[in-house]
Amino acid sequence: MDRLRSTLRLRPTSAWLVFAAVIAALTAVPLSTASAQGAGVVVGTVTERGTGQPLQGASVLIAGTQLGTATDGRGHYVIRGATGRVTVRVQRIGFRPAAKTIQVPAADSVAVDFELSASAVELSQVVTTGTGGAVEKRELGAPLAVVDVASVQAVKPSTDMTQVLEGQVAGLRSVSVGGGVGGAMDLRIRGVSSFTLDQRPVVYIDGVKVDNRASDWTASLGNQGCCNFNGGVGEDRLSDLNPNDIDHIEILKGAAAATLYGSEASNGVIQIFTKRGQTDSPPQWTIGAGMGFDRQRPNYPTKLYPNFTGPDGTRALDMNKTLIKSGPYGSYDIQVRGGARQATYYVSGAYSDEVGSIQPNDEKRGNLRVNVTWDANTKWKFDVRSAFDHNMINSLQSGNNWTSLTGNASNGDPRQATALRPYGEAWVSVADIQRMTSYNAANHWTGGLTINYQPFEHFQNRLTVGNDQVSEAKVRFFPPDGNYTSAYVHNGEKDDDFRNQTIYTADYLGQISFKLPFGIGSDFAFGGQGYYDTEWLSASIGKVFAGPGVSTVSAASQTFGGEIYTHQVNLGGLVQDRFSYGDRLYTTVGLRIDGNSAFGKNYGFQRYPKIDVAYNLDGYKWLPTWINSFKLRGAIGKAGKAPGPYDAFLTLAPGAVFTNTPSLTPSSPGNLNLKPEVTTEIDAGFDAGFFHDRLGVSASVFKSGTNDAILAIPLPPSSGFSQAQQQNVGGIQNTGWDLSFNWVTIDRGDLQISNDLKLDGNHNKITDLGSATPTTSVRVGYPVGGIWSVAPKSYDAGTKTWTSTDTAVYFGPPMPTFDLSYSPTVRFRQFQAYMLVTAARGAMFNNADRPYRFREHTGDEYLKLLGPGGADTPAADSTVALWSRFTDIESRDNVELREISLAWSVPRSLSAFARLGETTVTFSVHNVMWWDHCACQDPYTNWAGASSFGVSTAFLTDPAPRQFRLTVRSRY
Amino acid sequence: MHDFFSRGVRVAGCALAGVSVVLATACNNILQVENPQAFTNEAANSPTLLPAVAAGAEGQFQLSIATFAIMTGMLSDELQNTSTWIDWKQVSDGSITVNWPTAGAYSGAQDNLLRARFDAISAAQRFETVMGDSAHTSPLFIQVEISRAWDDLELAMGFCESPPSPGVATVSDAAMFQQAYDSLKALLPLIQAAHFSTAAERTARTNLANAGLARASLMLGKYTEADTYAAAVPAGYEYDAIYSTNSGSQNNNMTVQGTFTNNRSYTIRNIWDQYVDTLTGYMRDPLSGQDDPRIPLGHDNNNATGKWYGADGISPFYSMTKYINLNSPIPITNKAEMNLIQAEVAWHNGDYPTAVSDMNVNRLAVGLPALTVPATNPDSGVFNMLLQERFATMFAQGDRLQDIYRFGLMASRVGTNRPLKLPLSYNEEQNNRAIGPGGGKCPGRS
Repeated sequence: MDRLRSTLRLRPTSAWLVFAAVIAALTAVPLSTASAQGAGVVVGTVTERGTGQPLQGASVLIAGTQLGTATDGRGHYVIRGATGRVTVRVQRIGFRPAAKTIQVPAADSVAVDFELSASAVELSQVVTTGTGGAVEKRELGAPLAVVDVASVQAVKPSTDMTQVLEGQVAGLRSVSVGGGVGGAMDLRIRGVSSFTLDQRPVVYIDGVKVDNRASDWTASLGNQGCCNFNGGVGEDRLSDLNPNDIDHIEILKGAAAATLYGSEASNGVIQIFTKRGQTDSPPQWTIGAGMGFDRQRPNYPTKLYPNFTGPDGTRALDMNKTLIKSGPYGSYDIQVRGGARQATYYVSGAYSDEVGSIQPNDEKRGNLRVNVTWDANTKWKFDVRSAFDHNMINSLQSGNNWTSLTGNASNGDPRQATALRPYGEAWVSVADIQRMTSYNAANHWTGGLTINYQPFEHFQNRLTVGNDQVSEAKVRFFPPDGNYTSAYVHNGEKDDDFRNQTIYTADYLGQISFKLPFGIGSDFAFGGQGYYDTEWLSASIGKVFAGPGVSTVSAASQTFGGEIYTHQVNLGGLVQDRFSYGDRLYTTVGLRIDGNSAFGKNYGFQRYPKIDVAYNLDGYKWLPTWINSFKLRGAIGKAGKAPGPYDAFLTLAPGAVFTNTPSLTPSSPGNLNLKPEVTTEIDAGFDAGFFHDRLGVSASVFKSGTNDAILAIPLPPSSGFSQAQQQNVGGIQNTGWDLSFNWVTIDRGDLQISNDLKLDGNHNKITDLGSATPTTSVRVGYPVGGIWSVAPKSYDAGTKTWTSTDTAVYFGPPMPTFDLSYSPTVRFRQFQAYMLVTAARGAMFNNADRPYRFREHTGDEYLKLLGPGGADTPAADSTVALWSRFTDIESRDNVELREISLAWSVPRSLSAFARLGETTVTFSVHNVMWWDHCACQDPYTNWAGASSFGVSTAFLTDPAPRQFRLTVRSRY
Repeated sequence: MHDFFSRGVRVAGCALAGVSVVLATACNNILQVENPQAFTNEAANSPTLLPAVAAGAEGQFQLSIATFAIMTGMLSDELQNTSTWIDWKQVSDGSITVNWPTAGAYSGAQDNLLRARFDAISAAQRFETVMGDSAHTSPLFIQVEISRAWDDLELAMGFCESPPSPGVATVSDAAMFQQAYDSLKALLPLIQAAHFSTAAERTARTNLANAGLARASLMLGKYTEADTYAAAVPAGYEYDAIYSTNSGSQNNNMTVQGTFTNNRSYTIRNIWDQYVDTLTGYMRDPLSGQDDPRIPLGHDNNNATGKWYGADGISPFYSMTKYINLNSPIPITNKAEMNLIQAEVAWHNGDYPTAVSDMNVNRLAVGLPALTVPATNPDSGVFNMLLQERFATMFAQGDRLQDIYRFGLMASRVGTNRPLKLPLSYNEEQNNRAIGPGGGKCPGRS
């Protein structure tokens, strides 16, 4: 096993060689060959108004050109190549943009400094995702949110990308759903838009599509002798990223905004922009270190266990006191960024080691990133990225799993406690579970090259090619001397599962700007985008070892294997024109056409049109002076979601019968007419700034409809085919709203208080089932995945039986209909305090743990009902009978104090004394406390981890990690 | 301005044209992918693959037997739930709710048989497509047609109603017995005409058809035919459902769910506890008091009751060691069953000595003492012997529910207000448009 780990760790990635070649080629070009000779230079410093603090990462651009850079840690910038009368524009998220027009003499330099004021409004911010070229937000009619990750990291340092997004964007759900450290998070935008397809938004990093899988994949290998490794809880490949490498994230909230991404975008698009260096900047080092611990909240229902003894006199243990421990945490990261005249670099490395509170469970992650840009001349610009992540997760045994660690302890019967099974474990002893090895080791490489070519002032071209490659192993070992009979394991078992996913992305965009008659401006964009996604899964399983001492599959007496390969191609073309009239009215008309290998043979290409309008009211004299900016916007657009790679194929599956005889049986009925799900979304709202942009308000109402949602239509078993037929017959509607307030309440130099409030609501319902037969839980007029169950009616104490309603009763939707996040930030001199409170209501779930415990005659709730000496009571009988027949449907409504943090900017005198640079010390606690109505450990958990469709049931799950952190960051 | 505009349009046009040409050239067929882990319908028409198609039809039938035997056993007086699954408990308690939100476990038992039957039907059609007129003399055709008939036979044994062919309305279990009978009878001449490569193959298929005909005839009350077909099956004959340890789907689910070293989800029904010998690990033969080797039951040497607990942690559990390994075969039919069919026919005819004699063939073969015709009330006495012998001989093979049902013993031996047979599969009811939600018509209750 160690050999396997080291192999994974050391395996060379061929992509690195490609990257090295590109870097070598770039560096081989003498910088002096660039055509900046004789041109002018613009230099300056960008600081924060009031405090005078330098602002790092502010974008400085020469308007109408490709010339630009970002400020370094001292707030400095240098732009070469500008000559004549130019406009210098500066912007940074959270500050009001500024611009100055200056005259730059040839072969001379001009200094231009800027002071930026804090701003709650971001309408002047330039965005690029799904817009057909760089554009200010004020020109956009579609909803697009931006998260300044660098700022978020400053107040609540996190080592997990999806954790960074918690509570940051109205309508974006990013929550832990169980599985301990390394468990996946549920990430989705604006509710549920599909019956069968993945609900996660598609994710790009610097234009390259990346693996966003968060669900368990070992089960995909089917009946190869193995199973769900962790009870359905998967690892989250987005967690491989180092959040400290991220500059900002742009989020397209739905189909109306994401049309240009075509057949993969109906769940929205998340585009991650990583950091870059700055031109003419000396190396700037940032070093960070974190320490702390994880400690779970002790709320498992085993507090009464020590009141009982087992048959051998062993007193039962309360797992809250024995299994919950403090898991240490440490993180170290280093970044260096800077640049020469025409080239910049950003290089970073990070390592983190987090041990879960319930052990064994830990995550060790290492990250390396190199980003290089080269402004060859005023026409050509090259950008090369390479990032390598190694993520090693010792997975918590959790979820729907015989070896669920806390599940065995909390479902144990304390009256059966023995010295070897002190919790009266339900299936497998805790000691044996803790002796298991179960880990996921992933190597993840993402690389990309972007070439910008601007032959003329008004004609730009951008080509991005990239590759995302995940190579992960999932390994589990049951020692042969352990007792795992309940998990069907005898004399040991070794499972080695491997997954290799490779996604190639190519994306070209051309943009021509010109003027039409009547003063109408036109930005015409055209291009094409394609990706090729391959996934290879394999498994090797060894069962029954001769005895302890060996641990490879080959050392087992029975060996099995399995393999699955899928691949999918998508090609799309797009055209778009953004028309502007004056500086107020903007409208964009666009069309994307896609072909996809997963479409049925009889189906051709899919068209996705869009149109949006933005109208800016600022500047009108009739507008009250306290309204600084006000943009009305509306958009309608379509986006799609392609079917699974082989859903359209009619297939016969090979297998084996009579021990070793090959067999063929009907498997998938296929569908030659299968096409993508197409979601049409209408979105309208406004973005406004009030009181000198101290209060920013953004509001949207939306209605989206998916009229050809793919439903898995089961054929009657008498008609064969073990798999259901995928048909585009369903209709799903989401209606909702989202609203965000960003209020810079006080900004007085030493004291700054800001309040951020985000709210959203969403109502989901099925509008059509086509020819599909409604089932108990899939009915027109009710939400997708609605929670239904027969309900108890009456109890007969004589027979100890309950009667039920004749039909299933609707309890509620699986997803919240209302979400809130509130985060105040207070900065006073060197101190900054931050808090994030979230609330959710409306969602219901099947709390499967509770009935299970009653059926097993255990758990605090049951034990409390017993009489003296543990005798049965009528109340106990009644409750056992109740939960022997019914599922327990409960509310997920909750309020959670998700984050608190206190940051201290160490005075220069002190940091210099310690030979540190500009230093910040942050203490933070994540998942601090929550209040709910359910008899559960955490109202967010579900047994299938981040699986879109396991969301409605919690079973043997564990709460999200509660993390205590002390972080020190110093910049030189 | 105009010049720039036209230049811009020209550049854009050229770029678009260039992109289009490149895409059209480079991307020809690029949107076509292949699935390397499955055959398309057309590919499966290859003559090379036809033996695998036939094996799939028969193999799926065999694999479906284990779950079928558990579910039918739990509804009868044979087996009892010890799992934590509500739907298993409902079958065992006889309280199957009509509107359980998802298909209960009993649905899986019928679904598997129905799908196996479809495999056989589609395989036969494929043979006709590929082989033409010669298909009906192909041993492969015989193989799948016998499987189809046996699918029908087992459907009749366990379920009060079933669709007689894909996607049609259901018929009663009696009609399904008749369909199986008709199919098997029609097959006998085809078996004789088929081009088997060895005589042994022909004999094996003939025996399987005769065994099926014997059982179907018995259930239809055609006692003379039942006796004839049963007699035609040679001594020592057995047709098993074959399992393997090669993958989870090929494991014997009776072993997976019923043994102490596995899932402990069902055990022998507790009405038999009084006969269990907790020292030797066998159920004692009620007729002789001796251990019956046909019903081995694993027991806990460390517990005075000899019982473990089931997966639910509270139900007493004996390990069902008749199928001790994950690849233990389950007898579907054998000569021992044929002997009992002949015994039953004799009992119907009032020929008690012959009935007892036929039963004694089985008993003596396993070392149990021979039975004798009771001096008083021989009819009921021999009947009780017959019932007990069928229980022991075909223990945990999926036959008991039909005995309890056809002899009207559900109320007296298991309980009142219980379904008399397993209901129609929820999946079939929901998705078969000829039936529709709520379209299931049975079962009656005890």
